[in-house]
Amino acid sequence: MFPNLPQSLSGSFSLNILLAAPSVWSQYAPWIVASVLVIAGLAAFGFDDVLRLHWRRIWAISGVCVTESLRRRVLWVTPMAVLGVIVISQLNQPLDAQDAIRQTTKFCLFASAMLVTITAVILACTNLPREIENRVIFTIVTKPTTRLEIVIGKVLGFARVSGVIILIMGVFTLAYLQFRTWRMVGQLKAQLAAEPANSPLRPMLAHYVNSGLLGTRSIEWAKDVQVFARPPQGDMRWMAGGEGQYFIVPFELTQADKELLASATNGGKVFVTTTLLVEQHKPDESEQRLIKDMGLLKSKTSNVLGPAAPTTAPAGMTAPPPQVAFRLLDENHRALSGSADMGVGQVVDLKAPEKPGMPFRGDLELSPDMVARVTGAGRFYVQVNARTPATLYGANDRPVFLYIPGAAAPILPPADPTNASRVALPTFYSFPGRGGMRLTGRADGAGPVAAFRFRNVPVETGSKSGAVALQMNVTIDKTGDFDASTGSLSRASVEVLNSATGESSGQIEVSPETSRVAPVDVPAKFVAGGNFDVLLRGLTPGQWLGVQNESLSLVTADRSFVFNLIKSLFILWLLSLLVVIISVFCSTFLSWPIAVVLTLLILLGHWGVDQLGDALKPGGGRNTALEFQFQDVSQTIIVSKGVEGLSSMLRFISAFLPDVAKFPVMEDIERGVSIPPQKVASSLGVVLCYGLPMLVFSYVIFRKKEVAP
Amino acid sequence: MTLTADTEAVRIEHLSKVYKDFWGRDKVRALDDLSLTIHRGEVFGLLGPNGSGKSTTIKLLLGLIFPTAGSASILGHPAGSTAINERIGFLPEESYLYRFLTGEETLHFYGRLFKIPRKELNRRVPLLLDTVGLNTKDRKRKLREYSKGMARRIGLAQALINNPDLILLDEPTTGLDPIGTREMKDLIISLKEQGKTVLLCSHLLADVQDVCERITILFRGQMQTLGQVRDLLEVKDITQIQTKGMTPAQVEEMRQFLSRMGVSDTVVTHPTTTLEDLFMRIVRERTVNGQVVPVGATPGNGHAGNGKPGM
Ligand SMILES: Nc1ncnc2c1ncn2[C@@H]1O[C@H](COP(=O)(O)OP(=O)(O)OP(=O)(O)O)[C@@H](O)[C@H]1O
Ligand SMILES: [Mg+2]
Repeated sequence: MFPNLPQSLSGSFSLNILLAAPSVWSQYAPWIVASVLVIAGLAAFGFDDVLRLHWRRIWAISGVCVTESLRRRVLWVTPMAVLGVIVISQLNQPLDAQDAIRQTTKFCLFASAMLVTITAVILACTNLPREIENRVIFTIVTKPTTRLEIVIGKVLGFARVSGVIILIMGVFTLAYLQFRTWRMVGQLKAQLAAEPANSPLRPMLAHYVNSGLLGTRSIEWAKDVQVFARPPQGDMRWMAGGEGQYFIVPFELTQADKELLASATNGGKVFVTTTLLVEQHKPDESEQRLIKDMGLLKSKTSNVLGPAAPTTAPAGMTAPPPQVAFRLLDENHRALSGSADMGVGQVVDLKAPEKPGMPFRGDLELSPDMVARVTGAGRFYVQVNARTPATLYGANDRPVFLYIPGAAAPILPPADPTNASRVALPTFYSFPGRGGMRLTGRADGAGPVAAFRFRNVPVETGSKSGAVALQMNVTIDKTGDFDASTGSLSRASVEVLNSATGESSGQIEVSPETSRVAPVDVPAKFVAGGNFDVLLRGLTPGQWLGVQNESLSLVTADRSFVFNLIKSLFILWLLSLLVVIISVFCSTFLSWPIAVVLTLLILLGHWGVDQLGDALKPGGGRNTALEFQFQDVSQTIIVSKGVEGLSSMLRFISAFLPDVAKFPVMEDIERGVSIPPQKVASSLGVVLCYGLPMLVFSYVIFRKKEVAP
Repeated sequence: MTLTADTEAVRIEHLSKVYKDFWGRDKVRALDDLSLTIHRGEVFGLLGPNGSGKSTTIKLLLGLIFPTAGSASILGHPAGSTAINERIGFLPEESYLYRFLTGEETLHFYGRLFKIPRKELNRRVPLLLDTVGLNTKDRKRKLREYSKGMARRIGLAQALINNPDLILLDEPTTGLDPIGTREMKDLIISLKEQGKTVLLCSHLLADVQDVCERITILFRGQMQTLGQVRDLLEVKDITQIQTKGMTPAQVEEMRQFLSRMGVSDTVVTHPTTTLEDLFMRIVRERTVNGQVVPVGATPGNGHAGNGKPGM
């Protein structure tokens, strides 16, 4: 399975035909290609060797590999690795007990992975060349062993050696973790006993003492997260001004729309229009500062400024007139308006409605150039930023449209992909900080909320405690307003809304630490049915929480750590199997030092090209060429073409190399997450899709090889 | 004399081997148009100086390397086919075995490659080790600790593990002490008595003379002579009369009788012509201008038989 194939190849036109074929084909293409290669390779010398295959010979050959490794004291590497792990995990400064265990798990698995890969590469790459060099192979191939059996036997032999190493490391990992957990839970118990009854640390300590530190969970993530000024009510959703909140509405122009726009530019006008409810309040201290900083104090003599907004307008400093900033974005969310945009957009004053309670309206006139760009793009986005502090902007289901005076109807966003009867809804964001979108804290819990949407989550009912656990993992940033005297603990709250029953759990307080998983227990009824929303609020003023999709997850089941470790080690063994196959393949036609190098290239090629990332994207050549600042255009073109060609070649080759990232040995187990079976399956897929053809190639090459040096 | 396939153990037809270098250019013509047939049940000797292509011939027969031209068949199958390896035993010129295994383990390993059942192996391995004369203590030691002769013996045992019909021995006596050499020869003769075919490569002429019925002599990859050892060694112009218990008087009378018949140079001893003489004569005849030419095939494109000195 090379699921990376379609994306990576989409640039090469020769394979476009292949990709245009039915999805069944592109889904199974790697399997089909692999099977064809395997059958063709085996058929190259007739099927005699396949028919002669006998497990006893294969096992005997693999057994010699194992004996050789053992007698050469290869296993001595494991105590060295064990020692390294113990030293590093003792020197490591963990944040707390849970972190210590996770770090240790990571070190153990990392050491095992390094150890087993390096051993496998060296053993498997040197074996065949050495046997040919010292001619032991003479006495093997003159027995009734086929070369196919030799190749399979060697691969199996080193897979067995890797297995033994992994087993030893696995047993050590488990024993060491059990030991550390046992000691740490002891310490936590003592700490819990010493902690005062009302300490906010108690729930977490109790959680660890009760469920241990080696817990493993099945996790479901939210479908998406949006940031609002207050919890959404139906289609009415709010964003707060001055806090970097905005929403984005998609547009997809039909042919008729484009014609309409084209006719409008001939003398007519085109507006991007937004209609929003506006609520304003007396600016608090920090909002007042912001208003000053933004230069909004000088009352604008704008003619669009209507009567005072329908707010709790206070005496003294009042909220400035409401404004929004528009940006037009292309498909990749890059500014359509080019460099003139600078990321802030074009500020537009909102016109007050005739009657209070009706929406305000803002119009941005598009220049003919802009209309042309929009028409050319076809698909584009309109971003509306809430600009004015102390102001809330309320958007209904269609807050933005293209308005063409004189046209029969405005141009609306396309239909909602999940509900064709209405138009696509805006998506709400806030500006990103260090760890995701920023969520400002407010002590009264009436500040902005991050709404995590969970849909069709398989919730295991009938859990013993009647509660389910949410896991929260946010970053915390302090703003200049942060009052350090309020204590070091941050506060946040979580509220679960069941979509089916409409029930709300109310706000449950949590005290998160930055980038750490904080468990939150919630009664199971609020997540029953698997469709629910979780609202997250920051409660500490002067702090930002950084939220992203992964910031909130639901523990759907508790799993055994041992089983998870076994899965992780199995994935590691699959990786080592692939390594062995590639090594044996390379060693059938290369001397061992070159075989080692080629093996590493094949193994890391895909990953390496992924790391180069943007540099190899189409367009990279032009940038490189521009950096040279050639006087001559033709030179620029040559360099640009050359770099472009080279990078597309690299991308093409890497698409055929196995992706080691498909062997997630550490990432899940380290976070205490149960490794989903699909990940095991996808590792197995990579091994089969690459390993089997490579095994057969090794046989074909070795079969044709004169084994006399 | 025509031969049917049943009576042929090995048939080599116009076999040539040119070793190529990395770039595919001819480097050494190690074997040049060799044709010969080895009958079942005979002990055949392949003689020749160092580098004359003996080992190359054996490697070709076993499929370790592939011929440049010509073909060979073993026991009715094309050379190098895996199936026929079931009935072949091979002792390479040096003991190329896993040095980290013990003698016993080595035999068990090779036995398993023949799918010999474990029970049968447990019976056969000690017998074989007795046959080749490895004592019980040495059997449990790793091959890296073996002396050259011991390694040779385990190599021989390994070649016999499958009770083969055809045995290819590449210089079997190198590294063996005189007793070992004697035992090796006895073993070869006993193999012959069991009806097995033996192809023996050697330049130790005495060994060959003792056990081989037919021999061929290779020089620079070309066959120089082929035939019964007896015929080849026969000295045509000398008549040898062997009797038992002649008194010196009778010998003197015989001598006078012979001189009366006009025969001169009568020597009453054993003829001293040996295989060695024959071997030396052939090698000398091919040497250009009486100069000693380095052994082995000639480098370059010219084939090894032309006797050009190496460059
Ligand atoms: N792998 C090889 N590459 C190049 N030349 C080779 C190779 N193997 C053998 N030769 C050459 O082929 C010729 C014949 O070698 P071969 O090993 O058959 O000789 P031999 O008759 O067995 O000699 P010896 O009595 O020394 O064992 C020699 O000149 C040798 O250098
Ligand atoms: Mg030789």
